[in-house]
Amino acid sequence: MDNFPILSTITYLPLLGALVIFFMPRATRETSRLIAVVASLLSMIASFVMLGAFKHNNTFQFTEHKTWLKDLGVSYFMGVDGIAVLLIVLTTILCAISIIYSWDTINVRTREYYIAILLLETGMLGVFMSLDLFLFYIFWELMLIPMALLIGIWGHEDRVYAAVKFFLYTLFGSLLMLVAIVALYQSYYNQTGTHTLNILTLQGGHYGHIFQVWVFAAFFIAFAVKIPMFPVHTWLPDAHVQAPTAGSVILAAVMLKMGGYGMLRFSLPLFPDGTNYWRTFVIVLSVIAIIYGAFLSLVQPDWKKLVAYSSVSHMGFVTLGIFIHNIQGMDGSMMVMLAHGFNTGALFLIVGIAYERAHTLRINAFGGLATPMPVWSAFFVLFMFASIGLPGLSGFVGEFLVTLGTWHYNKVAAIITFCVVIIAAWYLLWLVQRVVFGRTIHQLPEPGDAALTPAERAQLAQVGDHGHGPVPTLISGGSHDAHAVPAEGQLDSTNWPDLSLKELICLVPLAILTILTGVYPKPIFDIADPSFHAVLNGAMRVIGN
Amino acid sequence: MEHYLFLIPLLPLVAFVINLLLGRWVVKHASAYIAQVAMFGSWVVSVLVFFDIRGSSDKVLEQHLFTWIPSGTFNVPVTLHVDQLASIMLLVVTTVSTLVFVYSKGYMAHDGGFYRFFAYLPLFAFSMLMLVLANNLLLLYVFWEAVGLCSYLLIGFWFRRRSANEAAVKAFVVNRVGDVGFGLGIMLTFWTFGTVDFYGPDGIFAKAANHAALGVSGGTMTAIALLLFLGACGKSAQFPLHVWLPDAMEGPTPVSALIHAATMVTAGVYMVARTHPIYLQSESALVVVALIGAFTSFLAATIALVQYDLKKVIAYSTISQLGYMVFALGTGAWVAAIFHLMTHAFFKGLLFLGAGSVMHGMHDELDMRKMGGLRKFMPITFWTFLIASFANAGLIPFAGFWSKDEAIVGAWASASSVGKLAAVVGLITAFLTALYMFRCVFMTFFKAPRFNPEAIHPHESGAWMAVPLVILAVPAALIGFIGFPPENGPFQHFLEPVFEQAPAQTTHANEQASLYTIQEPATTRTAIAAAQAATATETHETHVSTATTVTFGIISTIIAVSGIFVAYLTYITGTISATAIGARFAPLYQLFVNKWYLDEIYHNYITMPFYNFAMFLWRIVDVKIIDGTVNGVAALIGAISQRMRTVQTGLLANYALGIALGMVIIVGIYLAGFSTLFR
Repeated sequence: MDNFPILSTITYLPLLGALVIFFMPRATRETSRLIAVVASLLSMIASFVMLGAFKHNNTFQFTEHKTWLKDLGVSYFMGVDGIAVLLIVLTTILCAISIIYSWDTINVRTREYYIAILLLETGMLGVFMSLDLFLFYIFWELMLIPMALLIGIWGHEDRVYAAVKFFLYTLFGSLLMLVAIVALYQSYYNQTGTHTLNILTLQGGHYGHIFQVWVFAAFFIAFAVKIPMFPVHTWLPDAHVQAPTAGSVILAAVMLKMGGYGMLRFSLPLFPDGTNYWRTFVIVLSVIAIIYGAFLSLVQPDWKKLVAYSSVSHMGFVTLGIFIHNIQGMDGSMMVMLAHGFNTGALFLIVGIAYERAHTLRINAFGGLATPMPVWSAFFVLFMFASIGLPGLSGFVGEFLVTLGTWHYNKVAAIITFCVVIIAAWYLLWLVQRVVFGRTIHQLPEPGDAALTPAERAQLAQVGDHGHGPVPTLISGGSHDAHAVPAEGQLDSTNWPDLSLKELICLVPLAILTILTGVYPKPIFDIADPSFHAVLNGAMRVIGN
Repeated sequence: MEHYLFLIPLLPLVAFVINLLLGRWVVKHASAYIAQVAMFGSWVVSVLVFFDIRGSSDKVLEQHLFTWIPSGTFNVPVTLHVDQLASIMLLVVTTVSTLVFVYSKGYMAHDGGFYRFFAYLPLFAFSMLMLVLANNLLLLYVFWEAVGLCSYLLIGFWFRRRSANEAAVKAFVVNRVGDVGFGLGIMLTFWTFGTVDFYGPDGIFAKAANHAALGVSGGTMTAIALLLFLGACGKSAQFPLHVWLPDAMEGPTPVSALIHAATMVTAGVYMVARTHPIYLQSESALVVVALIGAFTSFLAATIALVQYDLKKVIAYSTISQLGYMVFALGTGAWVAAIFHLMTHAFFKGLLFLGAGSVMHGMHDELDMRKMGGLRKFMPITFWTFLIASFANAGLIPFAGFWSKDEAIVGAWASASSVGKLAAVVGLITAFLTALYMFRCVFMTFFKAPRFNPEAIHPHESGAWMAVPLVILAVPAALIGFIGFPPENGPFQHFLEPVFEQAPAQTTHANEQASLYTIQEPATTRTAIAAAQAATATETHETHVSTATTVTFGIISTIIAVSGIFVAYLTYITGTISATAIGARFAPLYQLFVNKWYLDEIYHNYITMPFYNFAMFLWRIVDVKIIDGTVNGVAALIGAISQRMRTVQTGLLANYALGIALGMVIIVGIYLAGFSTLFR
């Protein structure tokens, strides 16, 4: 195990899968999806092995260090600490789930689709493992293109606009980061006379105050676009709405975390002065994002947009937790990242499953889905509560810890932040009320309903008079009558099937994870805490096993 | 017993998991038995725990399960802790739960969501029991929200009804407002005391009592107490957060009995009683608690007077009775509050189950104007309902009399500056209580039937429902005697160790003692004794003379009887005309009928402005300003590019010209600025 390149194995297994599909000229839809599933599952298993072998300390482990471009000081340098390890496992799990979910939902250009999604996975994994800025930047850009293609080719009606918007927004951030990397490289060279892009080495440099302020800002904009932070968030709702389900899941569950990860890995350790300089600004923006995202979720008529804006709100907790600079905030932001991965990923699957049946995302097209799709509804309610931070499910721990840490930093910020749980409950419960509860169009109004409209009363009376069908008693469940008038815009969901086996396979692991991390999050703290302490103390990190 | 504490919550949890996962396909109607057996088992363990605790005067049981959150110094364990207060709560919760589970088997027999119902109920029982057993503030908060979840699921149980869904969402969101206060209170507690654990020398109780020595200001104590109380206001339906409880009656009636009368809504009272060492440190917080409680009890009673929906009357009555408990807490009558909590759990649970039985016999009719004369059709329901009504009206010797009287006397005799006011409001409300309760009894069970006997055939409910009614009627009638003689009964003595031993001051005394030990062992005992004596005088409720107790007993009996008599004159003999009085005091009547317009005020001045503000943020800020800027920049670049493309003519000569011109310019700049050639 000592010298086995486990990190490269995890990273390149998806790439290998992509190459196999690429070089099999006759790869059909069936073979390519099978190869993709196998590759992503193998990568996931390898990441579990890594998690099991990870030692709970603050060093970088499983390192692979090979000189690459010697004169430029570029090396192939990979390694993980407690922060990266958790995000890598999150990535492999969610990618495997997304690829499995695509099994029968992608029917055009399937070969290219799986190649893109596997390349995307390799790019994302590489980002979490790179300890060399050159390598990091390659992976960072590598994941950009497949994602834009996923949106632009396999997306919905307005996909090209969304893909271009996503691409330009992110590229804008990336280029700023590139400039910052070059500046950092040059500055370190000026100090020491050595060319290096090794992150651990660069941490040893001494950078001037002005330099830090500007370079921090450049890095930060790249990460802020990715996470995304108010006011550079507007690509996210468009990208989500247009992306295919698997794309939305990966985008929300994994790609947004790149921003948080980048801040933890680069912004804080490399630029302590810059961090101090911008700290208040970032915290204010985070609090705005939390409230703003929640408010916008409240008024969205489009289901996916609602979840997308709620992501903005949740990611605000991540940046807030990172920048208030105490251990509760750090732990909290990690928990929010993981919980958001599980819950929002699952919520996008839930939306996707409904979309497969309805072919629309308008919230008012749905209603009473608890009758035809009870199991789906149960999962929806579970993830909805996890997302609004019900204690015992994963969302709560992170949000509470971040707010707790914020209280120590500034009481007013904490109070404003915590009030968002009211709005979160409001918009998500309201969503569930409109989609899951109520009645389908073939169900008669409930006589026991105290909020019947006059039209519904008339309808009930009429049915009673004509004696069509039984007048429903106090029974929850279906009694059908063809005379029922559909509510405005609502689709007929009577024959929609409940969850298929494939959909269950996708949702059950996430349900288990969200309950498990809510009830017993201690292992996560054990893994991540040493690294967080190192980040907080500004300690130089060394290479472990 | 210590090692078996986990069984109390575990059994209902197991029932929940089985019924949720297998109920639909495998267990089906057996789900009721699974839930009942689990709940009964939990009850047995609770009884054993009670006797174990009773064995010695200040015994506590504790079982550590696992560490939940270890984040720096913020360390939250999952540990079960039972003292006298918790063991009383365990008994109340498991007893009422078991009986309601039995009742529900009959009540829900023909419902399509039968298994779902019997999955949610044990989940509730589990959460409620964990709430009671929690040994730290955050764990209490966790299950505080969890019971809120169960409440949401069960209010919206009949999910096809829009009214039920709206009520469920309202209940959850309004409770969330309170929970925000609670959560912030926990944060302030943690950053003040460095822990969220209740007990032990480093727990918040010890530190709260000692706060001055720790350099914590009284203002901070008040802030903590009020933030926690905001949570209690939500859960225990106190003004201004009480608006969700009447709507919660959309849920099936057993749910109203168990969750929205007997157990969950008392969680706020329990929480304040549990954290009383914090409240004791803040005079002003206690005054707020007392005033809110007294006002709520009056407000809800006035609304109950004019409701026609049977369940709504009982719901407002619940709010009103919770108000009694809360003002008892606010005036330091801790034991009285818990006493009333317990008796109320039995008689209010019984009232709701009786109402459910009426609904069952009347084909889900709830309007009292369409009832009447039911006592002949359903005698068991009638007699048990009557007993519960006597208890609720506070008639001697029924359970409610003893506890309500103790709350009023406690308030009157307390040192609190608003104690007398609270007691007087309590007495006025007692009159209203007797009036609305017997208005309800007379309209429902007496006089001639006002429904169509041809269409509706009221009938007594079956054994599954009738037996729990009869069993519950026993404590509703008699349980008050465990608090007899008033202020000095077995109940009060049992709870003494919780409320009359201020843990921190004991610690303080110990510290002193250890100092003394160095000097002179003999003084130690005196020091402890002195400290304890000081403790006793400080925290012991002001001693109430027997004369006061008896006087108040007589006054409140007269009040209750006169309330019943007025109801009799109005609704039986017709001597007093309710309509005439309503017309005479029309503005007041309108105020009560419209629930003091609180729902409208909240909707118009809170909900809608928020919603409109969100709309503004989306339509204007997000779409127009931010995205407008982004798209504007893109359009600008596009436009510039459009102009620029005319440069690309494709003619070689033009390009050559461009290259030549560029060369000339660059070389010119170089020569002019950087070269020394012309200098």
